[in-house]
Formats: sequence, structure tokens, C-alpha cells
Amino acid sequence: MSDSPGVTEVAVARPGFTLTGTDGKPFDFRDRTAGRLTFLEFGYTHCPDVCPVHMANLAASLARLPPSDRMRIDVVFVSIDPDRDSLPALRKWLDAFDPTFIGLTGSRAALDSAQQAVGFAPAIVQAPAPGATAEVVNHAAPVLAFTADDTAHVMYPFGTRQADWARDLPRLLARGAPPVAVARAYIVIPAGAAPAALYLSATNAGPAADTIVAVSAGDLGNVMLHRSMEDASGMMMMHAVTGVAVPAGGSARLAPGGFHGMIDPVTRPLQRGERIPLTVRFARAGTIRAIATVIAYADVDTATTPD
Amino acid sequence: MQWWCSAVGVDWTWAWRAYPGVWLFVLGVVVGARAIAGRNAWREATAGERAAIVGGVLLLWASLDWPLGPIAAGYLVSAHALQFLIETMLAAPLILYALRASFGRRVEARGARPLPGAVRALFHPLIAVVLFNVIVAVTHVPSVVDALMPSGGGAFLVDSAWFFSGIVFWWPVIMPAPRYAHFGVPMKILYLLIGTLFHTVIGMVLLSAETPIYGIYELAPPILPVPPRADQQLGGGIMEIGVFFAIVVGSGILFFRWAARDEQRAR
Repeated sequence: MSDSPGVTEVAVARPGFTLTGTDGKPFDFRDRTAGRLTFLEFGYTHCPDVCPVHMANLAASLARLPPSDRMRIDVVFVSIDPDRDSLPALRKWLDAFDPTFIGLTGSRAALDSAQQAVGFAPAIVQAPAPGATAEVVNHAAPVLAFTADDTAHVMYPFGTRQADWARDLPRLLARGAPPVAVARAYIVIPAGAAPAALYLSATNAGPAADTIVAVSAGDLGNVMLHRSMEDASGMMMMHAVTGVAVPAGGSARLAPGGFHGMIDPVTRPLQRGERIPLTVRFARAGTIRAIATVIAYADVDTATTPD
Repeated sequence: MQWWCSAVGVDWTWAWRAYPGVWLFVLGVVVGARAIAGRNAWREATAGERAAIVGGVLLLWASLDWPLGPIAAGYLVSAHALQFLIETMLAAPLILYALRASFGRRVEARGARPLPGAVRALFHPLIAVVLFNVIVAVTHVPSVVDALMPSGGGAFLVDSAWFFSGIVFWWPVIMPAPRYAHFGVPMKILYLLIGTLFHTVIGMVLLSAETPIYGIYELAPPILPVPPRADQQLGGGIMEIGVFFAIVVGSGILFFRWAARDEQRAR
């Protein structure tokens, strides 16, 4: 799966720990990242070498991917130094690499159990070395790569270079992935109590046509599939549909002026940039998980224009 | 204590460190310069020549010693490029400029063949330009840099090769001997322009590479909030602009001195 030097083959199931996100809310790792290519690193923001180098190289490598691929990947950084890494400090540190990187931390007991869940020994905080003032945290350095089949098959050591990531990212995206994929998912902040529009792109690399039959946005509200069409008099009419066809080897878009999702009613206020987990059900391929980014109405044209 | 700056892979601190190998190297350059210039050279030197030797030696020392030396050895490609620029394009020509007149006087005193045959051959423009470019090329190959920079011996090899290549490259342009027919000022300017074309290629590679090409710097503990690729691009820019600037200044000095001599002769 990887020709990169030092990469270790493993078989680690996507663990089910729950920690606190930088937004202060609980984050269930398995639930929130299931089915997605997810890089998991345990580290700390005062780490002088391994953590910032891993994060910088991952960020640079992901930035070179097409947006449709980039949106299928999560990077989760778990701080194992909760005493020094406050949630805002962790967020600020991650933002310097990529604002979409997910930061988590928790109690020492929760962190120990999260590390053990992936087979790592819990991190150990060491007193400052003679002449130094900062504590050093000894922690497992590898980055685990969980693929769409919810298993980490490889572990990337410190020393993995951007060229290695560039070579492996397409392979990791393909590993265990169903023939259908969902990308570029957006939920538009509605005006007042109006319904919220949901847009996305679906691709089907398989030999048989498939159909999107349902989309769920969790507790955000009920998602209906609609289609906007012009009638004989030139009026735009919207009507419910039972599915959106995704041809074999082709793609389909939920976009303004055509098929789209409608969340009605929206159960809570939305924040621009918020990431909402989606479940998209296909008639043949089954359920695909994706993340929708909340955008303002002004961003719709830019966000939904194909690559 | 390390004797020479190398890539150590530990978090950078601004605590001063001693590199005795660097001091010995700089001392060796001073002794070598004195041997070339002769015993009374300092007394007979002009203010410009004194400034050149002091400036050249200080620049060489600053480029090799703390903090630039260790940063260039193991943290930033841009610092590595700056170090290269100082050693080959500033320190080497300044030192040679300072020695030029005194060496010329010694040559006249000794006769037509002041240098041993092998050294004389080394400073033939064709050999000098080839040697300079071979050293530049080899010491910029990623696998060579990644293999040499983590050890004191390897880093010393790179640094001394750069300074040596700078001396070899600038010698035929600045020094009065050995003299070669048809290597007048126009040819010297052409030599400088063509001789540094390879730098442009290296600079372009650093500027345009999609990913960092040197593992040493890509995986180094961050010293500035600059991603490795941006640091590499800065290094490419330093190579491109710095070397171009040095060559333009060098060519300009040659041209204007030549023009001034021509005018004097015409009068």
C-alpha cells in the first residue's frame, strides 16, 4: 500500500473514543469520521519537532489535492498534553497548518485510553531536562491512516516526507472506498426561518448506475430531495423527487437550479465554516458518510462551481 | 561540543555554541592569505584592500559560525543558500581582491612562473569554471546534502568545497597570474556570466519543485513559521538574485576599470 520508507503495515480498527473538540463539544472519533480517510496523530503543541513537522507536511500535501479529494479527508490531532494545551491554544496551533484540521483533547484517563485503543502506549510527561524549562512529552510519533473501510492499514513514522504523502494519498483514498463518493457538500445558511439548501457532488466509478435515495444531516433537520425546473410558462417550479441518478462512470450534482437537498425545518442556527456530518444513502452502494461545510449565500456560486 | 556546524535534528535555541573547527578554518584562511600576499602585504595594502580582506574574512567567519552556520546546516534551506552565496560570491572574491596587488608584486619579483604547475592548471579559466560547476552541482544533489549535512565531517566537506570552489572560480578573473592569452576583460565578463548559469538551474529547481527536495530541511524542527517549501523557494530566490547581483557587480567593476584604463591610454 505504501513504498515510503519506514511505513509500517498494521491492522487497527477505527477506535470509538470520545474526546473534546476545540469547539468545546464532545467528538466521537468513530462516529464523526467513519468511512472517511482519516489521519490520526497524538502529540502536543509544545512538541519541538515531530508534531509540527508531521502537521506541516500533511497540510502541504493535502493542499495540493483537488478540492473534491481534499474534502474526503480528515486530519485529527489529539493533544496528549491537556495541562498546557487549552482548547483555544490547540485551535490556534492547528490553524497555523490548516483550519480544517480537527483538534481534540480530554482528561489524562480519556487520552490514555484513546492511545491504547489504537495500540499506542500512553504518553509520559517528563520533567524539564537540566538547563531546560519546558516539560517534554514522550509520545508515539506515527500518524495512523484510517481508510474508508474503517481500518488503519499503515502507520507513517516521523520522517515521512511530502513526496511520500503525495504518492500515497491517492492510494489511501482508493483503499476500501466504495465505487461512489460524495464530495463538495455544502449547506447554505438560510435567511431567518427558511429551509436550508444542501448541495453536493456524487461520483460513481463503478460499472453500474446508482441512485441517491436519501440524505441525512443528523439532528440538523429532515433532508428532502428536490428538483427545480422551469415550467412551460418559464416559472421555476420545485418538486420533491425520490432519487437522483448517478450514472456508471459518471457523476451527479445537487446544485442551484437543479437537484438539491432541502433541510426543513432547520433545528438550530448554523455558523459559517461549521462542518456537518452527512449520511448519503445510495440504492446500490449503501451508505456513504461525508462532511458538509456551512457556507453563506454569497459563497454559493464559488463553492458549487465544478473544478 | 561539536567541532563543526552540522544538522543535529534537535529543537533550535538561541543559546550560543562554540564551533572550534570553524575558528581553525578561518585562521587557516588568514594564514593562507598571508602566505599568498607576503610578509609586508598589510603595511603596503591600500585602505580598500585592507577593508576587503577584513570584510572577506569576517563574512566567511559569520557564514560558518553560530548562528548562521548551524541554521544553514540543519534548519533552513534559505540560510544554506545564503551561506553558499557568502562563501562563493562574497568572501572568496573579496579576499582575492585584497591579495591581488601584493600577489602581483611577488609574481613580478619571482618571474614568469610564480605558481606550481598543478596549481597553475587549476586556475586555467576552463578548468576553473568546470571545477566550480561540478562542485556546485554535486553539493546541491539532494541525496548528497542529506547524507553529508548530519555529520560534522560531511558539513565541513561541503563548506570547504564551496569556499575552495569560490576561490578557484574568481581567481582567473581577479588575480594577475597566471595570465592567459585571449582572456581579457570581455572574456572575463563572459566567463562570469556563463560560469554561473548552472546556479540559475539550481535556483529554478528550488523555486519550482512541488515538494521540498532536501529531507534534512523538510524534517528539521521548525525554526520559523515558514513551511519547508516556502523556505526552499526563498533559498532559490537567494541563489537567483544573489548570484546575479554578485556577477553584475563583478562584471561592472571589470568593465568600468577596463573603460577607465582605455580612456587613460587614449589620453
